[in-house]
Amino acid sequence: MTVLPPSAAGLPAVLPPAAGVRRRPLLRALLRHPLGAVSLAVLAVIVACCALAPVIAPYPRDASDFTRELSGPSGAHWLGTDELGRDIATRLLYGGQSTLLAAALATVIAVTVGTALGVAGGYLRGRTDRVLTFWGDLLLTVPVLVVLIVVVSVFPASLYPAMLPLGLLLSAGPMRVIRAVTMTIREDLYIAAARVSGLSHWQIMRRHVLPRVYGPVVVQATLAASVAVMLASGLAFLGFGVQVPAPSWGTMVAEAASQYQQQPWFLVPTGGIIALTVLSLGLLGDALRDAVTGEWTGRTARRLPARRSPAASRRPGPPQPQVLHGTVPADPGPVPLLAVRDLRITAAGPDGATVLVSGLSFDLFPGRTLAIVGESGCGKSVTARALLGVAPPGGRVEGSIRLRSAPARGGERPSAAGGTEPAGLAELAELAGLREAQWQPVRGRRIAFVGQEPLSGLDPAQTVGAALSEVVRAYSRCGRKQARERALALLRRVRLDDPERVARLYPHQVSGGMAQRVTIARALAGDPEILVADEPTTALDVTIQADILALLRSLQLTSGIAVLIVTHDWGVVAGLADDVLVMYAGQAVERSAAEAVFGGPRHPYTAALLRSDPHATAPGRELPVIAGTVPPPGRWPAGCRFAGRCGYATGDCTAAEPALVPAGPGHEARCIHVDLLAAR
Amino acid sequence: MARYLLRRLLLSVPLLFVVSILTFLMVAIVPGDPAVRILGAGHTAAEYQALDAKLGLTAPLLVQYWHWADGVLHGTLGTSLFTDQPVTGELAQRLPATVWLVIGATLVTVVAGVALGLASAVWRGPLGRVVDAASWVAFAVPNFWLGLVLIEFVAVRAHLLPSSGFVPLGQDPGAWLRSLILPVLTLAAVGVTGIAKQTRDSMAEVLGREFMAALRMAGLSRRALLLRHALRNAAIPVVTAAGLFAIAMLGGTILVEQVFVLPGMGSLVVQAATDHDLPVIEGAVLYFTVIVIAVNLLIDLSYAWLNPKVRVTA
Repeated sequence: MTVLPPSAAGLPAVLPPAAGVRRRPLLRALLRHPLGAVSLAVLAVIVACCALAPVIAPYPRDASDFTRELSGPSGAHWLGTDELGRDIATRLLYGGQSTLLAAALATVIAVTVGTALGVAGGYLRGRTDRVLTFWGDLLLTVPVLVVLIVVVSVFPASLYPAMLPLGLLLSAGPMRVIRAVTMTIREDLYIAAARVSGLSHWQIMRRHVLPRVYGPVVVQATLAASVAVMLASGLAFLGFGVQVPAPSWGTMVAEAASQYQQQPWFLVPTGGIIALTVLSLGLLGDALRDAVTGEWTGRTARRLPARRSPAASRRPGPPQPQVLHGTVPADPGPVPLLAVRDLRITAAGPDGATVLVSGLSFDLFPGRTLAIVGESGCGKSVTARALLGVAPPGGRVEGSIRLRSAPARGGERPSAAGGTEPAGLAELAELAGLREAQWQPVRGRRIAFVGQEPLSGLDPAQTVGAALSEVVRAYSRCGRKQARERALALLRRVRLDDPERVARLYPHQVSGGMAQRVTIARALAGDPEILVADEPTTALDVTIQADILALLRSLQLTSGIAVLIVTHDWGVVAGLADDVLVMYAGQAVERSAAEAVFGGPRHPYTAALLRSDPHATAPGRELPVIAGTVPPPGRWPAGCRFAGRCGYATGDCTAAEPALVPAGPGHEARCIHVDLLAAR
Repeated sequence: MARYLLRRLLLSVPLLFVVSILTFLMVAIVPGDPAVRILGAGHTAAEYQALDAKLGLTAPLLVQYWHWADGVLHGTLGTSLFTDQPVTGELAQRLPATVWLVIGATLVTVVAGVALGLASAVWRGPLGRVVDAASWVAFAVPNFWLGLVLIEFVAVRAHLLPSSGFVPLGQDPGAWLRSLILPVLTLAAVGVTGIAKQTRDSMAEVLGREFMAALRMAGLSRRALLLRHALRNAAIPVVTAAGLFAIAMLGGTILVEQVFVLPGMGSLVVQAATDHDLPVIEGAVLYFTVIVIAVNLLIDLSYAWLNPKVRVTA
């Protein structure tokens, strides 16, 4: 989509991140996450208390108090006593030692083995990877508890021997995740650089890959630990791996189970400590994952409340002083099919709403084609989608989008000449502010959409025929057979050879050009008056581009459909457009008939865009580019937004935001130097 | 399609082999000795040797395994060292309770989990947070403990359902259902919220994909968008998770059967493990592994049904 590629994005990635830097931010990010910090604290307390049981436990481990058997919580016994009058709190502390130690053992094995195999598989790929992946899949299909019981029956005296197979079985999870992470790291430039510089695979894995998988390894460790605690308790509950007077959490639940008719309370602390430990481990893992991914994607803590800071929302400065409301067509003749006034589109940004498009006004006339032109990030695509009632994530569409009232179905279509009715803008129906369900009769039936990536516009689980039949039936309530015939007719209409065969194909079986014809067929299914096409040829090969453009042109000739096409390609504009709207940084900077723009652009940005058109440059000559990049939404400069990249900029340009001013018949430009360009 | 399934089936043969030989080795290297356990204290060396020979425990390990594997191919799994009954017969008796338990828990998991996950994906907000909280609780509470609590409240105090035992389906369908409800709920608890979470996350991912925006802009109804397009495309990770839960629940039956005193394969394994009853353990592990393979095949089948790419390239 980019005309002018952003500055070389790969550059900073060449430098390997220093290994040590990674650790502290992870802990800090974790501490910012309240639930994660609390879980870590709870775990630390549990582990410390169990480790210090001989010091802090209120009673000796096996001391019985036969005067208080199965008592509830009391001052002397905070958590009550068991059936032999032993203090439950004391026994939970001692019991935690064996349970936690066993779980730790399994965790260490699982994470060590999983990380080693995951890094090896993800880095070396090839046969090693295939064998390891198969092995991992095999482990995932083993019913863990069954195997553990078999092992425990072999070594009945202790839980620890069973932790080796448990660790190995649990290593499948970490292995899978670490492998995936390693595969992405492997593609980084600095790994290639390390390889070229002669480091061995072993050295690269140890020095460059291993330090970077640290985050996911910690996450996986907490998850493995939670499963290990649960299974170690389960085994003890079944009576495996324990020797009688020695307590363990699982055994204590079993004891509580045998006494629950006399003292149900006994179940609470025994099950509770297991649940608390597992819960803390799970929540800690979750928080760590957030912290790790936040670190990777450069986001800070994910759950920051999205509040509007006054300073931030003032910065974009959306309300412009003097926009010429509704004065667009200098030719006052025909009534537009679609009239957009003062469109403002926002999206959820890091500090509240960010304005993507502001003060945008334009008209679309029956049978004509309007091209919206501009670099990436100027707000063209969000504008196209807003016309179908789709706002960016977390954002809003404000302003006015008015559509001529629906013609009687099958009746006279608005002709290219338009304007038989003497209606003003007031007769158009307002679309902005409609609820989702109210948009439905507009979408596809009156305004249809064709997107940029044809393949990603189709449901991958549906055949082409099914996709078309579905929309046909949604629009016209006909039978399956009829819908199928109509679908085939649509495929013929977009000039696909052998429609019967194409209808049976899934999206992954068709080429980009075919898929784009299919999405155009889908757009035509509702017999719409307006086709919104968002860069319909950008993702296609050059020869296919020409075919698709020819198709659009002929469809327009035969059906009189109005087309709004978003593009950055002046060739598309020249081949298709009647009118042109040039957008820069979320606003219209120039608006006119197509010939007028080609004949004499009146805004410096348009002129620069035309100069950087590859079609217009002689072969072998360097392609002129516009220095700098489009300022991102939220960082638009005061005054003229293009001034920073403009060769004509003067001090006045940044003083106040320029308005759209007349620059000729039916021609407007947002530039205070509009006459300067005309003179050239 | 048939070839795809056949290939998946062939891939599971090594699993059977690996699991059975590992089980065999592990149990066979036991310090504990079945003959000693059967004879109890105070037996003569001659008695011991006679029994050891009768049980076939004097032969080298590999020969023992060969005998066993040969028997498997001929449809017998040997006889229990303790009850002298054919292992196949014991397992056949124990199979229904476990299989119903797993089928029931999987159904509850998938139906309730997908419904909850879908609801929280669509309505987000409070329901999503409730699902989150519930899945953490279900994740953390040990199922053997949950079973005890359910028995205490539902069976002992409220007398709504039986606290233990299993009634075969053929004997009394009503009692069969009642005997299964609590164990199934106990076993399914982790899965329901786990699947709900997976469904919601997966739905959120699909709802953000471009084709959903394209279909929305084509004017399809919300219902069609969610149920026909989003759910189906979101289903693959959900099915994967459901399969892993089903396998985990297969192991979980051991604990749940113990808590609810169900005569299933799990309690059989626990008993056999305590007794070092090698043929029974081997037989039970074999059955468990076969069930795992069946679950995996079902998952592969649903992949093929859900994802046309699998179907076509197979």
